[in-house]
Amino acid sequence: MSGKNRKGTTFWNMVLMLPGFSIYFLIIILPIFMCFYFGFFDWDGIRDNMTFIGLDNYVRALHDVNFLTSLKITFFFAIPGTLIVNTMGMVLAVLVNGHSRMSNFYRSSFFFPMLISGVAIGFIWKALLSYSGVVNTLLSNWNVEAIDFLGSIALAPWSILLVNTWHDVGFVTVLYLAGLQAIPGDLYDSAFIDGASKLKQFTAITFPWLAPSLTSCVIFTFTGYMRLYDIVFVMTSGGPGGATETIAIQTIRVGFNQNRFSYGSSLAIYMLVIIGVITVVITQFLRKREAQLIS
Amino acid sequence: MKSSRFRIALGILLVFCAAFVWASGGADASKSDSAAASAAETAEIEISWQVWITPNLTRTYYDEVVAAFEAENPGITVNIMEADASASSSAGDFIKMRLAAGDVPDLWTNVDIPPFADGGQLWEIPVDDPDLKLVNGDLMDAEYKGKLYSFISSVQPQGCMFYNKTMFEAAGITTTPKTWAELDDACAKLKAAGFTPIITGGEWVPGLIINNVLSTDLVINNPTFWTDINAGKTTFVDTPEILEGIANLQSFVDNGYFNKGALSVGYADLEQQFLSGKAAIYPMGSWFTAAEAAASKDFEVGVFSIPTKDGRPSLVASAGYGNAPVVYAKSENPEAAFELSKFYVMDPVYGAKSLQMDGLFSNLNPPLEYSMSPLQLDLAALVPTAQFGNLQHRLGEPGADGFFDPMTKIGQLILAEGSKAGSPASLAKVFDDYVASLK
Repeated sequence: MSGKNRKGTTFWNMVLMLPGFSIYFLIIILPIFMCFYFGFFDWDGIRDNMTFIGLDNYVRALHDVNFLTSLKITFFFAIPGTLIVNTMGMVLAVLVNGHSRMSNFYRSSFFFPMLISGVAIGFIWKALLSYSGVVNTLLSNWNVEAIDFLGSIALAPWSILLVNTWHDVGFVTVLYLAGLQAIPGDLYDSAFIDGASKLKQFTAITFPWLAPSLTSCVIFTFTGYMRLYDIVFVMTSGGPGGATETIAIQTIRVGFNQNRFSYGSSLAIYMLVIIGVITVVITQFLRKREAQLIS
Repeated sequence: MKSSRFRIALGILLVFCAAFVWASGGADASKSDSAAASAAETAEIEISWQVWITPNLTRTYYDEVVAAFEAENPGITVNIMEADASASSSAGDFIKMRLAAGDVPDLWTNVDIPPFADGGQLWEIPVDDPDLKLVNGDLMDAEYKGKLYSFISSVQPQGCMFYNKTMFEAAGITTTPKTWAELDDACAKLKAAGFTPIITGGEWVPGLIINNVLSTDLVINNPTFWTDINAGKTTFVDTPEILEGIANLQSFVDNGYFNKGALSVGYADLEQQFLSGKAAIYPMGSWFTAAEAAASKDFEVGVFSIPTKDGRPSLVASAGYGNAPVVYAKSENPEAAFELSKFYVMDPVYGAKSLQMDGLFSNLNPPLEYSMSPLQLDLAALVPTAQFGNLQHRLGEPGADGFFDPMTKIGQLILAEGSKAGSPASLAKVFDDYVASLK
């Protein structure tokens, strides 16, 4: 392609980006800047005028026990959730990898929960896990005492974690499966001839070759868990007693229920920054690891 | 060359974005202009009404009200905007979103008045409107900072204890409890008879229970509690009614009087469980009477007020700063919107029907009448003891913004763990901390 043509292509690429970029700008970029801007004011979201208070909201958040507790709860979901989902996803992918007639069926089945909205999943699992729900009805048939999955302060966070794991593990499995399909079969043949065990094949071939998939999956699951809202809201609304109140729920509650719109905006910005920073750190670490493993 | 093309493309991109943003924001104004021109041409007035959709108050019902209003007021067209109680427990949340979106209805049902009045978003209703002479008591009881934005058209008792008469009889309880000690005694008898004494649920229900349990004595002993709190004259930790209310609730949980797994029972299930005879007592607001009247069951339901320490009658009710729908300050047709508000709560047919559908009691003179169920008649007998104030809405000054959140949190903690949730003082401190966090 000549230089002139390339310049023309760049121009038209930019022009063709217009509609998509405009929508993205309007519904993603602009609200983020507005949120950041509102954080500098004292505003309840109702009055027409706002009072400039500088960094007060951002400083206040650092001492807000409720915010810090919700941050802790969010990390409780995000760290084990990311580990569990990725471990299970990788194991399932390895188990169902192959060219059997069932592999497509497995992929579709695993992917299925991803097609259901978080709200619907919340309602489904609430019906299953509530005190008089399906699971406890089954348990009572076996003379097992009912378990308060959603109403117990100790159990509710684990129940939420379970449901989110169920929701995400299939998608991650499919991504790992795609990664597995890209590994050249010759490598396994060579390893087999060299007498490598299945475990050795996994650690020396499969795991390193899955590094790019691992990076994508970890980022996907971690950011998803840090933004957890819909499933939690439907199943427990952040309860009981705040035991499942994630940052996203806390932000909405502060902004809307408590009429502290600008303070809620500052919490949302903290959420964005925390997720952004951690994501960059994880990405850098995993990319470096990818390079090491591939070389 | 390359850089100039790039700049042109970038410029177009930014101009396009700006135009897009402007068009989105400006659409409302141009729409308003064209709507105003169209209204002028046809002499039609168009108003919008945010209605509060609940299991009792359905969209079909509001459509009926609107059709009747439009028939009586030719030239006024009403567009309904829904606020669904299943999506948020506060109709005000929908208004906040609509304010942000610039698509605000002219008339709002079921919103808390203080924050919107403080924000200058409410239209002051004409105190000298002749129809308002029908309102019982002093019209200005509903004033907020000297201005009237709504009026008290009905009484909504919230601190009700509905009970299964068959279970009470089987447990040998002959009179309804008036004090906490009597309620404790009744619950012990019910439990001994093999019944679950009290049924409650999760979601917002624990907040309602805390509000009513803590308010019942407080509203008698210190009806200006919030004024004192805001003035720094008292705290939650220093208020005996708060500490005793929390301790009472904790002891009831510790004694196993509540249904197991209460916090994972949703509101809709909760109502059905009581109506199917799963427990003896169901603390809930008067709106339950509408569902009870429509339910088929093999027992009768009675009602008593949440007890007080010394047995003085105190039925916690909600009215705050008025409960007739409020008008948006920037409405182009506030008078028409106010007419609809009055029609909705004062019309002999539809006003009465809305009372019946939501289990409310008329506060007009003469009162709007509807065919009451035996339970509603029982409750009507308690209405004269109703106290128009509660911790959530108003005790002197209005309750702190969003105070239902900490009440729900504490209610859930107590229902989950009883006295293990902490001492009454430590739980009351959560309320003080919340109030302090708003300053």
